[in-house]
Amino acid sequence: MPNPKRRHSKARRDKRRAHDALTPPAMSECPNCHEPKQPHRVCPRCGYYKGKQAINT
Amino acid sequence: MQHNRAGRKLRRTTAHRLAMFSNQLDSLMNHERIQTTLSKAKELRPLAERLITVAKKDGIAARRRVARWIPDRTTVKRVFEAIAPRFVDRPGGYTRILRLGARRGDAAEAAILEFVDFKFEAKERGPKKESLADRARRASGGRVETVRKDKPEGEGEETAREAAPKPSRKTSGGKERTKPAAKPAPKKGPSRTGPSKRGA
Repeated sequence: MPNPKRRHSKARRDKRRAHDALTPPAMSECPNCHEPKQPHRVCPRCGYYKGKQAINT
Repeated sequence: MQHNRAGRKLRRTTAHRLAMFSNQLDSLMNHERIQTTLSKAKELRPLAERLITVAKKDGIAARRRVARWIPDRTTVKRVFEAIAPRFVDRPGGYTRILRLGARRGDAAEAAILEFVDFKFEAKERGPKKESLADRARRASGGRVETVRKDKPEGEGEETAREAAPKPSRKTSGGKERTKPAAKPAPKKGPSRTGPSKRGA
């Protein structure tokens, strides 16, 4: 069985992970309750979308 | 290139998928609005709209075409008599999809599929129902500590412990396990990333 010849150093491990960072989801302000919400989605706090109440919260 | 690969499989077999669409269409026609995932909503939407378009022209053939997707007769009737007439002047686009954000549990994007003339009525929230803990608190007039139910003690427990001994390790485990703790590796200078000792 082929095996790794050398242990990977922390630097190599961390360099590999340099591009693994997650980005936070985009947020916009709810025009109704002014809480942050994700754009193009019903506001989870007040349940409004496009000026109308769409869901119960 | 992704050609000729329209549609999502939704991790179901064809029969399962079609049955699910059938169920969802039935629910949509009865409730005017359904909550599901974004992917399912996107797949369902054209099916739902096609049914409405077919149902705009009533007749035995049209009824049967709708009934292919909706097995429930009363629902078929409802599609023709309560839903399709509302859309006679609308050239398609009878439904809308609202995104609700990631669902707790599996983080799937939840969505609502509803008819465009759906009128949402906010539910009046009744007073909060008293929970069991609330009732205990009110009755005792103070803080209530959670009490664990006592397990029946005595013979039952002991015999249960004896009856389930751990399987002997010596027979099943490898020889490494019986050895005393691994021999201390001789520390050799800076070579933590040095040559491996495994089969060189």
